[in-house]
Amino acid sequence: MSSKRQQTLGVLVLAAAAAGSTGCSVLRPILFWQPATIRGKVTLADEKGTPVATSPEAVTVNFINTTAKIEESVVSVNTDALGKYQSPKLTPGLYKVEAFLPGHVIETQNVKLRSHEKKGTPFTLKKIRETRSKTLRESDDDNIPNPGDVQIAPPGL
Amino acid sequence: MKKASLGIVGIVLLLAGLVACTPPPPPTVTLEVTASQPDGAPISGVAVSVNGEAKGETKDDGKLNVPLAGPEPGTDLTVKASLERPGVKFTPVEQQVVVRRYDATKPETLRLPVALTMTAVEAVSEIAVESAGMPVAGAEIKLDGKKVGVSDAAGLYKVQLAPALSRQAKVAVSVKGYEDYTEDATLAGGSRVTVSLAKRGANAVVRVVQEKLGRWAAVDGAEVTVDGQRAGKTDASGAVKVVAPSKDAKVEVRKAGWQPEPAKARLAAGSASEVTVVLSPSSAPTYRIAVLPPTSSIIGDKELDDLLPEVEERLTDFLFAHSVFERVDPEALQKAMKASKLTTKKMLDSGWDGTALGPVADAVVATIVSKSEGDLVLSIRAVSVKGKTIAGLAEAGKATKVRLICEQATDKILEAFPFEGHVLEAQPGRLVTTLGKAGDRGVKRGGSMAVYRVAPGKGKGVSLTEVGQGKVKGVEDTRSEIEVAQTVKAQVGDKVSWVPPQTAATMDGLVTFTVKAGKEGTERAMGDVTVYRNGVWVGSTSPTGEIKVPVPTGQKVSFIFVRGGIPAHVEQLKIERGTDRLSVLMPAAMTRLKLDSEPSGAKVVVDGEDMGVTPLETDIFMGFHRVRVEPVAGDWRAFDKVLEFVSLEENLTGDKKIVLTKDVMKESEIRLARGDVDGAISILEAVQKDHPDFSQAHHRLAGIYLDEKKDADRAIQEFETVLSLPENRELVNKRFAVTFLNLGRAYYLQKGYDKAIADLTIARDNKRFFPRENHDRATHDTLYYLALSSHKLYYAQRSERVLQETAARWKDYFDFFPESLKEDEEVKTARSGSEHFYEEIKRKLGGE
Repeated sequence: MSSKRQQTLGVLVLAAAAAGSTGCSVLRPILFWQPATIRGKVTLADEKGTPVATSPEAVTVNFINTTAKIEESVVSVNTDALGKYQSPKLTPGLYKVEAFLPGHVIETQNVKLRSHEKKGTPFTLKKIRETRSKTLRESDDDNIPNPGDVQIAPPGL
Repeated sequence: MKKASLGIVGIVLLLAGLVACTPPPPPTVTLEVTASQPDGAPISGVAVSVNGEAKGETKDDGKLNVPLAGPEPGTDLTVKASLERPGVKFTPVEQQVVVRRYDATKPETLRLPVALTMTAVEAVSEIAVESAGMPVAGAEIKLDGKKVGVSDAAGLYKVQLAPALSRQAKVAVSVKGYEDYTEDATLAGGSRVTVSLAKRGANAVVRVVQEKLGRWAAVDGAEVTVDGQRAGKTDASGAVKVVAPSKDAKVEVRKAGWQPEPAKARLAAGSASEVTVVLSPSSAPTYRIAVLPPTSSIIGDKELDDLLPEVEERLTDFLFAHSVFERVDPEALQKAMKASKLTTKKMLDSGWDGTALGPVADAVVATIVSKSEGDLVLSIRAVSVKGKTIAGLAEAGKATKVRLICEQATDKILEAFPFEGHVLEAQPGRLVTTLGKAGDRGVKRGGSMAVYRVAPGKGKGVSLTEVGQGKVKGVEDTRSEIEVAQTVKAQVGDKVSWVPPQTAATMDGLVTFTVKAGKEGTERAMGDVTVYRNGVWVGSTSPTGEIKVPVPTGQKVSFIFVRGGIPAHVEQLKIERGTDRLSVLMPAAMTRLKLDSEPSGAKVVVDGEDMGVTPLETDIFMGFHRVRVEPVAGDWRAFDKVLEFVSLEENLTGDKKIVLTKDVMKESEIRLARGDVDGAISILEAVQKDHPDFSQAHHRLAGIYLDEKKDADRAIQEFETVLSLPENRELVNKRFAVTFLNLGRAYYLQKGYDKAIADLTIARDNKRFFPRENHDRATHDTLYYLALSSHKLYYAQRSERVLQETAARWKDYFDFFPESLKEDEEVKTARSGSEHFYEEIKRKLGGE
């Protein structure tokens, strides 16, 4: 009796162990079925990094699978009116995710995506900095470098 | 017998009759032929014949007048008209015309109008499709959106226009592998529209140039290969667009009749890369020389003035007797100088590359005629397009022997001119070059030649690196052989240049001259005096009148000292020791200057020298002087002008005294420093057009609006006011070159990117006139805002052309990073931001 109980327990342990490792590929789709995707929200910020209220439309988000063949490695989506994006179903792998909006510094993040995983990756895009220089004053009359000021070189070339 | 006499009488009578009754000339009847199409449009070039006799062709208005001398009324005339030339054919027409009765006193009866209506049966326009000089076959052609056909093997497509002769059409051409092309073109019978396609992804550029006297010239029609693949032929600008290689590629350039081996270069990987390849012609160049009218160095010397035309004529005759020199037409020279506002001084000091004269002349010859103790002195300078003295000499002699002096001077130019050629064959120790003695080039056996490697230098400049020198072993007309050291690594296509013997001679001594002028006791140091040694130009004196001249010791050397405004001076010397110091006193014509100012008591500075306070009287050389009158106290503006003194006495007192004005610049500056921005604005705004500081005040005002008031609109208005003055817009007044940068920046801030680009481009092209103390900063800002404006314009337009331009402009921006700006915080910020912008453009070019 006791030996039989022990056997059953042993089988259960084994089953649990199997479920924990290889078994997840069978169990998970049934239990929590969801495709592997990356999604998130893109926020815009000014030159100093302070977030601004305007929500970005049509930020391009590229998902580059660094572990796949080159020709099928890049998938792109655009954000919606609220700045949200969601990738299509992706094969698992190491992804470089890039958010790109003209006039803003391109942001990239590395994401390790496992099977059926749903990753949230938010981005903040900073406006590219421009300087605001000052108006420059005109020259004083004799303050212009002129090749004629320089001693003329000797004849010949 | 009787018969004979009768015959004679008859002949006499007949002759008499002829003499007495010659009828008046018959009136001319004019056949007025008009050829037109059914819609009334005139047809030119129609061949008209009358009764089988060709009478000419109709003109642009479709008309041809055929005069008929006294035709018999009632005569039938057959008028035929036809037009047939390649691509255009009309149905021939024929019309019968009867000559009506006419009366010479009624002009209207003398006109015989003939209207011919002709219909085109053939009007073929060709569309020629090509890319980089090669025809493109199989290109699809659309006219106004409708597909009409494809180009044939020769890249041609024929469009039948008849019965119309021409039409406007939107021509669209597309073919795999090339960028699409559209153009609004006029297709006309017998004419050809050439469509040049760019290879898709062809965003790298190979430029082919040749060098002459330190300047590039584009080489067209040169065949370019990239990694062995034909990439095309260069266009008129010497460029051909090629597909950017993924890794560094080998470029080879060939052109029939040019250097025997291809010129080679590497094209770097990546889009928008560019390479410039130097190709050498297979014959030595000739030189287009503009001879400037000689000037006299002594103002008002009638004897010299009278000699000027003869000097010009003789020099021109002698110079252009040698076929290596081609004359630039004097009228074309004057026209080009006028168009580009070139003065002689400007040309001699800084050259004329990039002006209207640039493409016309390789060198100018300027002559100053002077005299020294009765002798006539010619000093001649040949200056290259880059403003470099390539030959300078002086020749003296009796004033009665102008012809001889000019002949000798010409010989010296030929001796001193650095004639150029190229290496045709290169073996260790021995080179064959294209530089021979043809055309009277002064190349002689035993002389020297320098060998240079020619490469693109900074900016658009030419970099010449001396590879070595050699001795001329043999000279033919178009070839020479030179011996070089075994270590000299010359290659085919390298440049060779004749080294004038004077330059090559050993100068083992050194003499320092101090040149002064004036009457003894009151003499003053003279700068800008040109010095010639044995007739060859050696340089000019410094402002302290000093010049060091290398000389051969132990032999007699002649020196000539020349300066505009005073007679020349000749000195014969024998230098025994290694070094020597000598003083030279030049006679000079003096002006008595009387000067007063309102208010008086102001300091007077002439050519940088303190002369005292007004009112004053002093002696001064005749000629041009910079006169500055500075008030000692108060907010007065200094008077500062270049004046010319030509008479024995110049009186600037009484009515002519110098009236000083209040210094608005200083006053506005003081207010601004106190934080009174509006006060500064009101002072500057009050400055009217007739005020000497008008431009400066409004330039400053614009800056205040932009920086202090953040009002780009007002700033633009004021900058434009400054540039509305022609002298500022045309950059005669160069100090306002920087205004184009400021205006461009204002337009940028206002999002007027097109205008910003236009003004910033002017600023960039004239950056040499930026103020010295912030020259680098101004250049940086110009390139920065140019690239930024271009970038923002690309956001708005998304056109391929703007993308390419933007890439090039960012590249220009990154290329400019002088030492002086490396620690500048703002520049650092600008550059780090710019890298992100450039990254965007690179992505777009990468074919996103």
